[in-house]
Amino acid sequence: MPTSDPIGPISPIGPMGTAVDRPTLHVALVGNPNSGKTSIFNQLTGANQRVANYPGVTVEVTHGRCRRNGLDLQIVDLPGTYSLTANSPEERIARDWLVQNRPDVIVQVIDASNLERSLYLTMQLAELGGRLVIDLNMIDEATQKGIRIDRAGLGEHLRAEVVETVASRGDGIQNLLTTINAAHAREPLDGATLFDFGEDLGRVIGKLSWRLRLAGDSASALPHRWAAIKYAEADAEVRRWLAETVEGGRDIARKTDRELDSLRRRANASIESLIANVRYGKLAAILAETQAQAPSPAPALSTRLDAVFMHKWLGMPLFLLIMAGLFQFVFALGEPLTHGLDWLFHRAAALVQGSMADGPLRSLMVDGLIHGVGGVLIFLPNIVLLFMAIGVLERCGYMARAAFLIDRLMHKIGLHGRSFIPLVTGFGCSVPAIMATRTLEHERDRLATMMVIPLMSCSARLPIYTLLIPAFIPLPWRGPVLLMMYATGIALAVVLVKVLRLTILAGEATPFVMELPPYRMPTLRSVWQDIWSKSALYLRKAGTIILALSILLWAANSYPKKPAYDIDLRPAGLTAAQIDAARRGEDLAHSISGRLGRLMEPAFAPLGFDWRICTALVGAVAAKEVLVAQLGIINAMDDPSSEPGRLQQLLAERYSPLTGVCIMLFALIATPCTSTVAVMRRETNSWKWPLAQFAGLTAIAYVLTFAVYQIGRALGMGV
Amino acid sequence: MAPAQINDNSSWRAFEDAEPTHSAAHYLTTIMHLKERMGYARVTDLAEHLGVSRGAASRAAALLKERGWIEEDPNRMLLLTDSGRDLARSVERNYLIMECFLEDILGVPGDIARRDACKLEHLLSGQTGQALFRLVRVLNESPKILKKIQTRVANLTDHSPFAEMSDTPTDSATSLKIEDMEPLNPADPVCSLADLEPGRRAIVSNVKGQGAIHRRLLDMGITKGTAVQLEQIAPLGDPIKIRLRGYDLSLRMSEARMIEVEDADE
Repeated sequence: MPTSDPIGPISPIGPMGTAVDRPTLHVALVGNPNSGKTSIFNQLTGANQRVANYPGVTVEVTHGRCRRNGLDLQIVDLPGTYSLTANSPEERIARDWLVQNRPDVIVQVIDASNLERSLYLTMQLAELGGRLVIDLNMIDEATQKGIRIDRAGLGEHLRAEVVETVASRGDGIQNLLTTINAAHAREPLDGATLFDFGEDLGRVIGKLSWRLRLAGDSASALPHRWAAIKYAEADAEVRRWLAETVEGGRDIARKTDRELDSLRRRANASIESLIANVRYGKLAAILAETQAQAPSPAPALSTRLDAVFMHKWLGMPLFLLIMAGLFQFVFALGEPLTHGLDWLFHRAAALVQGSMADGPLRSLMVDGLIHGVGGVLIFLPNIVLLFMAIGVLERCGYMARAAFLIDRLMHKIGLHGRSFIPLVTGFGCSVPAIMATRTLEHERDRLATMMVIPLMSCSARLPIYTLLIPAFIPLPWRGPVLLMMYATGIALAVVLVKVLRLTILAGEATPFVMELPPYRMPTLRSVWQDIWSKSALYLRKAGTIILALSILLWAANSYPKKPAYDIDLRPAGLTAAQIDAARRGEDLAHSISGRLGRLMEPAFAPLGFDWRICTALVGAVAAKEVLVAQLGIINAMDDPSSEPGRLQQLLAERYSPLTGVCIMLFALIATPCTSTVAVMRRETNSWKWPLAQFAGLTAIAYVLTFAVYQIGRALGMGV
Repeated sequence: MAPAQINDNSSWRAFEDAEPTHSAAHYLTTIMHLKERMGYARVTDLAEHLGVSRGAASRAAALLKERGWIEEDPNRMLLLTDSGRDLARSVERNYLIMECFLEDILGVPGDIARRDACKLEHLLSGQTGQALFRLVRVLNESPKILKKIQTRVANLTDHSPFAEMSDTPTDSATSLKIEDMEPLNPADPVCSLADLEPGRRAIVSNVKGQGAIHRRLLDMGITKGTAVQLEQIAPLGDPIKIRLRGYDLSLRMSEARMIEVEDADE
């Protein structure tokens, strides 16, 4: 158990205008995934939220403030969890928060139609002690299903306050608030008194908790009985805590292990399963008294829908249809919007260009700032549309089914069923694709998926392919070569995932033990909340980095300035436009990028690249399609004709088809664009992953392109 | 208990009146445990749990009632009175502190410590228990001193009155009772959830494996005795969808193979 708290205990924010009548209450929201916990959180806090990251993990915790009826609540929305044993980073964060911060009131949000499974977490919260409020959410749905719950009885058994809400409509939120306040007035529950684990197990747990009490202050960080239960459950962190932090902990661990071992042998079952049996047994007894369900004659709607959507023959075609629909929705519908934005920024640039005197400031404004901001916003239509689609699919319940359908294939290559949508999105653009990995619950799956997303040929790679393939490849082979480029990326991704899984992301396979939530109608409000939070996050956190990097690249492309142009010394006969194009080419060659290109030339000669290609590759770091523009600019230096058809002809004269293929290969694999780097930084909450990705992919690209070029030459191609 | 130390006759008498006997303590703590686990305790449960006849349990219950430690409600459910609950708690506390003291400080082997603690639990006063608690805690806080004392004690080769006693326990009748946990009959044909046909129902008989996956399966409610129904197999043949405890869950075949079941439809 880490003793340091990454965020620090929640401290009340200072007075904001009005005087605070009451002290701030610290409230933690916990619950299973799909319990509507976040909807409750949004209802309570509105827009008054901030996201906190934990170092080293991609899991986020959202904090919010709620001031109503003279109450002042500081609320934290913990990651969804099924238990308080740290099986995954998400669960660990939720667990650590509860144990370390000891909130005044814990609110468990429960899907009221799914009481049995949800109460398992309640039992563990009760073991932890404190003050508990149980929120039976989506109570309307449960009532419709004929489920009746005796709230008073439930509360008495679990020694908690029980309320009912329908978060999507905002029903019962007032009551929840009042109840939280009422719960705060009561004595916190001591987890030790509530549950009994039976004679044999109870004795071992009781003894360990006493030994912890007897160990003195070194063992005071965790509630003793709770720690004892978790120790018996083989919780890795509590075991480490006991061995490393507690005075004489190793001795205690040794004795306890002996006792647990003998118990395990006699019961012929794992201690974890004995404990789970006790909890489920106890809650079955509680449910028998407090829940009644009318037998429903027809199978539930969800079962009938699953029979269609997961049908043996219909399932996959429907899946592919929905995925194609999602892709079309995001990118086909996004295209006019993207173009519109692009046009807008070009207009703005032209406007500024016209109203300012020529000089470095104008260049900074037009090519640096406006271009940079445009580069940030250009992704927004796709992000909004993608999260609209994902939000609807997730909330209506199909997302889990999609993962279910494709998991076998994804699992074979070391990923998770839920990796599919981010990867497919990667063919449109890496930026929203990386953001879409949020639907993956487990950190390692998420990182593995993110790391290979840039290998999916995004739409910005297409201009590169459409420039180079016609330039070098004879007509009948153009289609197959284009297909080859896409296939190469996918194949490489598969290999890379395998390598990652064996090295830095090694570990026990993440289980596919996943709830298939019932199909539900998504509400406009919740989908809107999804879109809003993702877009705001992108603009605030990733946008700033993209802007800074694009200004940096603008400077590299613009400075230093060339004092005099060679083209001016040439004989006349050129139009003004042609002279201008040649000057731009000379400028680029003279700039930092051009110099970098020349510097890179010796290293890249074995790949078949000259300094011109290298300079264009430097530009491609800003965005992949810039490669095409840069190739045009730099080649205009010697041949000041800037028509695209002419460029292809020029390239074909200057380079061999082998070099052409090598450029495409290198551009496919190497250097994820700055926006990808920025989003990776934002989503992984560290520079480690984006930099590893950038360096790793570039190294792979170098080695592969080197091999292709050298083997190609050895076979007599492109000489 | 050493009678020689109790010279004063009156304190002896007071002791007999106020303190529970060994068996009374057992009955009381058992009632407490039964109530915590099942929510109720009847004389029948008590008898079954302690392995005594119903008559004996009934007589014991009458005695406890006489002492004012328990009551019986109209449905013949046994209830602990406040003093009864205090007593049961104190007995349990004493048991645990005694066991820790004997095993951790004195270094008495675990099963002997357990047996002796069981004999002493109901005889120890609250004050003595608390004093013992403090002593153990202070000793634990200074492990060096504790180690020193223990080494010294272990190496004491005095002509102690216990010199002729062997170190090995004389009897081994103290192993804990395990009810409803007996191992599966190996003769039973075992099949896993992965072997079921879609639409079949089954009862979980065992959850194999270890570590995070094992725990996750338990957390999701796949425990011994749970009724599950295999609903669907994915079109590509791998994950399966099962229904249990009123909700749908998906599992990979590799995980389903860890779950042993008995077919409920047969």
